[in-house]
Amino acid sequence: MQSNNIIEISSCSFKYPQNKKNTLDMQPLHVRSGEHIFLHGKSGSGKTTFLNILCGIIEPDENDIKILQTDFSRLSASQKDRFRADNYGTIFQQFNLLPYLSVKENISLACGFSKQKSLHVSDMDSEIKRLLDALDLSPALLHTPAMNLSVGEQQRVAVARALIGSPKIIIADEPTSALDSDTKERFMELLFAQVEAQDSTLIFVSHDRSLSSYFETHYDFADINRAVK
Amino acid sequence: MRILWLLTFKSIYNRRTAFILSIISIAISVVLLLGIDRITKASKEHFLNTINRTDLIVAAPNGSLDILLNLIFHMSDPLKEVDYSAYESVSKLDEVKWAVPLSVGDSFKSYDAVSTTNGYFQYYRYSTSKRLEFAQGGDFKEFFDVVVGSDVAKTLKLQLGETIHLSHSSGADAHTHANRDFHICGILKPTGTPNDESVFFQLKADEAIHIEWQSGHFVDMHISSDKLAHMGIVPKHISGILVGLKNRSDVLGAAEKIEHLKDHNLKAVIPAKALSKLYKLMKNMQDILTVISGMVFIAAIFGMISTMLATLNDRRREIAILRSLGATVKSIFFLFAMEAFIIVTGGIILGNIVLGMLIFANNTFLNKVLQVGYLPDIYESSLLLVMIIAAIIVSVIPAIKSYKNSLQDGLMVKI
Repeated sequence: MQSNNIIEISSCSFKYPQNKKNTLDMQPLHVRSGEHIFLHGKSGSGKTTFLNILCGIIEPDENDIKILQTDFSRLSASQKDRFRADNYGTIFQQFNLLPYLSVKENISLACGFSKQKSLHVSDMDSEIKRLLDALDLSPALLHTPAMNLSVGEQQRVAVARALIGSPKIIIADEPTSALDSDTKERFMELLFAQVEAQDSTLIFVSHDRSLSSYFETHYDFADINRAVK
Repeated sequence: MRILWLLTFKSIYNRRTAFILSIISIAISVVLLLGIDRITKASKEHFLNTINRTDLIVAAPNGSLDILLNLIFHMSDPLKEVDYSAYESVSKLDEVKWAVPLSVGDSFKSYDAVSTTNGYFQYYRYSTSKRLEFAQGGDFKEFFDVVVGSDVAKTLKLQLGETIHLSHSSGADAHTHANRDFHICGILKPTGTPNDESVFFQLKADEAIHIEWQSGHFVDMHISSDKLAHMGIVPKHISGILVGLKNRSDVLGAAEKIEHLKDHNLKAVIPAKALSKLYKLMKNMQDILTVISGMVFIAAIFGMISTMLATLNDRRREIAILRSLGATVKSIFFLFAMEAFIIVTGGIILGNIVLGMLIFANNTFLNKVLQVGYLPDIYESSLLLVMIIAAIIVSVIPAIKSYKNSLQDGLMVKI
């Protein structure tokens, strides 16, 4: 049976080698294609560990995870790297960009690691210009080194990089925490407009509950992680 | 793949100061490694060919090293002398193509004065069969003519035609033959052999100036130099003879024959054998130099690793970002290996250029005399190859460290 779930987590647990207790022991979680999910929770609730597992950086202990109809639990480490490159766009709190590369180079970097993403982009230059424009960034910034941008600009360039090549899943880890409240709102609007335009699934992690109004689905991470109790 | 190259270059450019310093430290060790290797090899070759095409050195029975040191290097205690007639007998042997008599023991200032004949300039060969050449003037014409080696002429600023006085014996008990004027008739070109530090005069003049010496004391007989030159003096004693054979393969037989000559008690030494014996004394020195340059090389590799590790903290974010974009562990290792490769190759190229410039700057001695080449030979090339491979292998250390960081940091570096 073909489900329209993009992510199906039946089980997933993880223990850091130096700890006695599990850090993560997930309740089953299903994410529909195109769904926008808001994950919040105190620090130490295992959010970041969960994202690292979802991205394939950390190998979980016991797990049954299907992503995009692929048995993710069975992929090898390098297959997960490939999978991440092809299907994910990621945005972090800060320091998303390589400071010595220009805006253009930073954005096109995502396609440098994924054939699939670069196949989605027929004309790199015009696609980058379109994204810059859509994210309210001046085209004059194209050749500016990332280190010369403001934090707000850097975060929007990071969004452009996450979006380029139309990956199915966008993962954002506290992307607004370094922004002040005005730029934060603008950032959320621009992000949502583009995620919706591309029909991507968004998994957004933040401790800032004020952002929850943008999302149809919210989870308190403490509720889906049994290990926290 | 292209993206990794781009990242390597951009990332290196971003950290260019540390990068350039690493290249320079590798270059310095390359200069030392190759410089020591090339110069010791060239000097060994040169040393072993201090004298060439002379098949036998003949003297009174002494140790073969003593004979070599005395007749060729003009060092060591004086040899027991042999009669001049021994020279005549040796030159008459069928096997002998040429023979040159030598007498060593007098001096000029701190340099050795060797008395011989014009045959010396005609038959002496060194290096790969090079002959002694005159920078100015030529061989002996007049009775009291003297030929000076290049170092002697250079240090004492001697000119052609200048008058000099030789000394009887050498060192503290030297006595200057002040009444006998010698005139410089020729100045030799540099050879890198003991000839550079010697002066040469005629065997008969040697005999003539010693006429006034009786049992170790100077007795002035008031004979003018001009008269002395025309007295038809024949040498009585010599220190030894250089011998060239008609057929080199006869060398053992000829030596045997010379050593069993009737009325003479002689010893014949094969110079190449004696030279390689003597060279063994210097081999330790060469080994030490090789060990030192090897250690410099290891230090340079570790220096490179430590600079790579030092910049690793700055690169944590860079690596985390690349990982989040899907860079595999292999790609991260590739980045480090590529950087190490570029540093070490850059260092090797720079080192070779600097070494070439040093050799060129010292053109007359290193290049012309010792014949030190500009390009690495097969042995040196393989050393350099080992260097590149070693650098790439040890670049795994920062790569592993960075990989561990990236596991620990996950996708997000919290700094």
